[in-house]
Amino acid sequence: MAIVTVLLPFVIAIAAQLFADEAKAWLPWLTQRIVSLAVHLLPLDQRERYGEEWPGHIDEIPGDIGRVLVAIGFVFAGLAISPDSSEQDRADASVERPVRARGMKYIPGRSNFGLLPEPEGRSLAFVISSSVNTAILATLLLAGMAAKPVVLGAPMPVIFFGVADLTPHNEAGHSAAVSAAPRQTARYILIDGQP
Amino acid sequence: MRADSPRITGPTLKVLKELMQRPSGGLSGAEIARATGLASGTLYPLLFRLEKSAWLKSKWEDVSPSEVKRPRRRLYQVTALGEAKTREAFKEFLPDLTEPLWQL
Repeated sequence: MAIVTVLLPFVIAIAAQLFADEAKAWLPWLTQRIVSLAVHLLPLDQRERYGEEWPGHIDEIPGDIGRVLVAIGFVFAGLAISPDSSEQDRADASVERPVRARGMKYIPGRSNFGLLPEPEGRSLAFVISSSVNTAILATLLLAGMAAKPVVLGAPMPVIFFGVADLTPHNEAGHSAAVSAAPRQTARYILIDGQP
Repeated sequence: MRADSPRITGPTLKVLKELMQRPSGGLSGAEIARATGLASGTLYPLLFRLEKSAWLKSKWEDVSPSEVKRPRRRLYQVTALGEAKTREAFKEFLPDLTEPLWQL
C-alpha cells in the first residue's frame, strides 16, 4: 500500500505529461479542421477569401489552446455570415431556379455526376465523379470501336476481355514446369482474334 | 457591395474607432480583435457587414507568403463613407463631441 502511495503521483505525472504531449501534437491538426469546417459554412464566393484570411489570423495567435478557441469562433462567424447571402449566392439561386422547375436537385459545387468533376466539390464527390466520367468515356470508346467497322462496312468485331495464360504448354496441352516457374498471365483485349 | 447601413452597436463603434485611430496601412482581423477585445465569432460577421455596406474596405497584405513564411493578412481600412457615418453616429450618442474621435 505504501509503495502504491509513493508511486501513484509519479505514474499520474508521467501520464499527464504523455497526455499533454499528445494533445499538443494534435491541437494544430484540430485547429486546421475547425477552420476548414468554418470556411465550408460560408457562402461559396466567400470561401476562398476567408480560407486564406482565417489561417492568417490563427497564425497571429501565440498559444495552441488560444488558436483552437479562435477557430471555434470562426465557426460561429461562418454561421453568422451565411444568412447574409451574397450577390454570388443570389446569382447561383437564379441558376438553381430553372433547374428546380424541371424537378431536379442541383446544388452548385456538390454534384457528383457529369462529364467533368465539379471544381468546388468535396474529395469524395471528386472521386465518384472521376469514376463515373472514366466509365462514361470507356463506354464511349468501346462503342466507337464497335461502330467503326459497321460504319466502314466491315464485319462486326468480336471483342473479348480476359486473362490469357501465357505459361508454356507441352504437346499434351498441360502446363510445363508448373512448379518451376510462376504462371505468367497478361490482361488483354482481343478484337477479331487480333490482340 | 451594397450601401445598406449596418446596425450601429457598441462592438461596431469599437471597431470603427479602432480603425480610425490608425488610418494608414490598415489593421488585420487579429489586430482588431486584440485592440477591441472582440471574439472572432463576433468580429468577422461585423467586418463582413461593414464591408458589404462600404463603410470598410480591405486588401491583402502586399507580401509573398513564401517569403515571410506565414499566410497573408487581410488589412481593413475605414472608407470616407464609413468615417462620415461613424462621426455621425458618435455625434448622435455624444452631441458635444469637440475633440478628435481618436482621443475619446
